[in-house]
Amino acid sequence: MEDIIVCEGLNKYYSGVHALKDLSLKIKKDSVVGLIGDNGAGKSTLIKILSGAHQPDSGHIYFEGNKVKFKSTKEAMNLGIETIYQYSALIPEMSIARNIFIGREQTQYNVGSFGLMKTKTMQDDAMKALTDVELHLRSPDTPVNQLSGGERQGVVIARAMYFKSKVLILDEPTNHLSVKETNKVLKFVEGLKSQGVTSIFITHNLSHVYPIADHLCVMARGEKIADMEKKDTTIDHLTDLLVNG
Amino acid sequence: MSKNFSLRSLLVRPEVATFLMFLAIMIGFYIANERFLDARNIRIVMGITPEYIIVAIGIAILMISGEFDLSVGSVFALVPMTIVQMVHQGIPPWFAIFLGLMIGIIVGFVNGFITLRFGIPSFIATLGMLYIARSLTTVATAGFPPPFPHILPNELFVYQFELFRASLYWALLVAVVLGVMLHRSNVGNWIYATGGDQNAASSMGIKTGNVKMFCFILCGFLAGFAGMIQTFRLEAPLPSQGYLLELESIAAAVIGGVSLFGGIGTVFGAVIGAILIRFLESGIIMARIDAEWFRAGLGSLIIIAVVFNTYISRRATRIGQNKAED
Amino acid sequence: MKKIASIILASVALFATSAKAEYKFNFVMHSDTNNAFWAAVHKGFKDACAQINADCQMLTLSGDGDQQEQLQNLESSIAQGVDGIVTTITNPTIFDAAVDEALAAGIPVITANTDDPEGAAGSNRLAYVGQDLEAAGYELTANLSEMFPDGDIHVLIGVADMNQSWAYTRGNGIARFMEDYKAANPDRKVTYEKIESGLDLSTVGNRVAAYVQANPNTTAYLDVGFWEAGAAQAVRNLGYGPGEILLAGFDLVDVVFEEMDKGYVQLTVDQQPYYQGYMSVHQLYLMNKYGLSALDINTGKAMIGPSDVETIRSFKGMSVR
Repeated sequence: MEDIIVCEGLNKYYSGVHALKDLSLKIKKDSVVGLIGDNGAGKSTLIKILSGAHQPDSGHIYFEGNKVKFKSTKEAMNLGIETIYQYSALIPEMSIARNIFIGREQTQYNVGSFGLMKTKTMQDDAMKALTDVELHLRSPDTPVNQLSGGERQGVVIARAMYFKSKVLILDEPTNHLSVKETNKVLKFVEGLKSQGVTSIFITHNLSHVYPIADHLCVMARGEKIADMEKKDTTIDHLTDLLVNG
Repeated sequence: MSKNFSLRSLLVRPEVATFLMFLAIMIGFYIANERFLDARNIRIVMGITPEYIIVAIGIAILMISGEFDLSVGSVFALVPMTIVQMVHQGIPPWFAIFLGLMIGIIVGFVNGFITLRFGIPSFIATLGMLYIARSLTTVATAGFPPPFPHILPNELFVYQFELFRASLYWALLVAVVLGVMLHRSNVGNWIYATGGDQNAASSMGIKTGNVKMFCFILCGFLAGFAGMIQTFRLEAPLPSQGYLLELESIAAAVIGGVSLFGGIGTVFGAVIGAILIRFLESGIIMARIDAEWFRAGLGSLIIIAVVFNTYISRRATRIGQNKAED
Repeated sequence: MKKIASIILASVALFATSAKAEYKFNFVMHSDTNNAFWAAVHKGFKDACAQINADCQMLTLSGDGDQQEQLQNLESSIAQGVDGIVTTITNPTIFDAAVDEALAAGIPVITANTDDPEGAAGSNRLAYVGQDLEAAGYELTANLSEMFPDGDIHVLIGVADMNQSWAYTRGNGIARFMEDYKAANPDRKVTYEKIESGLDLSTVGNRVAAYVQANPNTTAYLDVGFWEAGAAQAVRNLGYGPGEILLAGFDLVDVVFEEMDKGYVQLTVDQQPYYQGYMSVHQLYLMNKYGLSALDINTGKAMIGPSDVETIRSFKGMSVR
């Protein structure tokens, strides 16, 4: 199985702080990679780079075998890399349908990249996107601030799926969820493999990601300190690395 | 998808509160003085309202994107004063109008540039512009207010029909065009997104800086256009035009349901808010209540509107939280 | 709900009280409630209304000099259906159409305090009750010139708001005298300058102080309102003694008297504001009741100096002077 993403020697500095030190990583296609590390380990820096929000100071990134340089989140999204952010990139008072298509609205009567939204098709496609991830909500016009935390994550995942992401980066997606909701999200991520989606699951909560991951990667102080397949390790071993690494 | 659900969600929209307040004012003052709803009074009030509607729409859209513009009152005076002076200098009327409106656009651009480039609150940047633009207006007046040159095509903008002025139709045009833009186009979606949660919007690839700049420019342009209409109506450029307009138009927007924090509001609400304030002012005079009460009345309405809208959005968020056990 | 009820109650109450009055008159003016001069006008207005049991309202502005707002007040008064309107006219054109509309609707309109700068030729108002602003400016300066020192003369004229006709008309009167004085004194250097001085004491004080420091040869400052009192405080703070810079202005306001007592202000002109409120109302009343015509009433331009202060002070407490 080919590697869908390869990072080679990534370095990033933020005002003198060396946030990412020479990080190299290979992500296998259709796998679930758990990226764990305590706060300050450099996980979010790596995510910002992979999602296109920031650029590395040195190093290379290969996507599907090609060297790439994303200059914006939009470029990363166009390639098929979607990021599910911690704070869930949804506009609270906005409806589900508009949120799903945000930045990528379906339009007609276009003048350049501006046009009138095809509201009906957006609503129908939104409902379909939701049912595709087995999220059953009453109406695509409900404002997302009326949904529970788990439902919101579901919407975000449905959005990523709709736009045919190849790689889904989930940045601590279960942090603020209840037990029930967490299980739902984990089950869902597991199912992504069979849909041809690779997931990178970032968390500091080992017990969440361990059950569903194929591969686990531990970071600390900006460096990768462990990189192994699940079968080669245990929760205790990883915890030890996390705490003492 | 039950019909009940969408009806209920319609009822909790902030514009409903605005409309109810509007009805209360119309009915209340009619009782105080029947002539409040006379054709003559409607003609008078609706004769001046379009100018305020246009500014309110501009500032509402900017507020929805998450920013403020306190300089609208000064631009309201600056643009028509420069148009008049340019015509006196021999510049052809339509070209002078074009240049004047460009000034409104430029001020909007400068407001946006200072806010976005230097990362200072738009409240402050435009507060500075308020003084600068007002001062420029006085400079442009060159001592004595200039007479109104009658070669300017003012009738096109302010001609008085039976009941309404041409300016009302211009205002409605602005409302319809910008209403479609805001509520139906992808640009409108970006505006709501930028104001609703700027980080989320920019994570999803929206160029929030460009969106805000567009709104700043639009607001400056509309303020200038509205000021031009007022000057055309009075047939006199007054340096004192637009005094306190910035606060009043923010009040109109807020009463119309626009949130101070961005992401919420409609063009329709801003229009009703502007009309409501003008009828409130008229009603107070008609009812022979001391004019000082106008400001107390206006202040009360603003508070009522914001309290009500906050209540609605809190209720909405609580629905979401209660569904955590899903 | 409560708001609607209270509006209804208030309206009913007002409706009830105004139902007793025989006539309704409105006074539309160009100032805000900050301006102390208007107290006497308002008292004259109210006293007259009480005498004839009329329902009267003086519509003040929220922004001093906001002509657009004043026009709105005028139009609302017409729409309301009052029996007579007293208004000031501070701009040659913008009020004309509204005045015509009032007259067409059968509402008599007279001007008080400030007439259309073109007088009867510029407006169809039925009469003017007030001061001849231009002549008052001329007279004031003429009287003040008797106190001018020998040698070169430089006079600063403070036109409070270049946009309002009461201000620039008085300013024109002052300037006209200065022109005549210059012509009558060819052997001396006589100069004068106009600035927009402002509509409140501290603004005027600041601007005059700045001017005097830049132009230490300033002989006198004349304000078109009463704000030479602000200039007095400012020049005193700069170290000038009383009378070193002559100060004069218009109207009888407490601060002006204080500065006269201190010797800083030499002269002011009375326009008898009480008459402006009082006579206007009685005119409108008689026009309505007996179909009499309106009369122009010149409310005067008496020169008031420090020796007159005591007498006037005794009336000040009653807000009639």
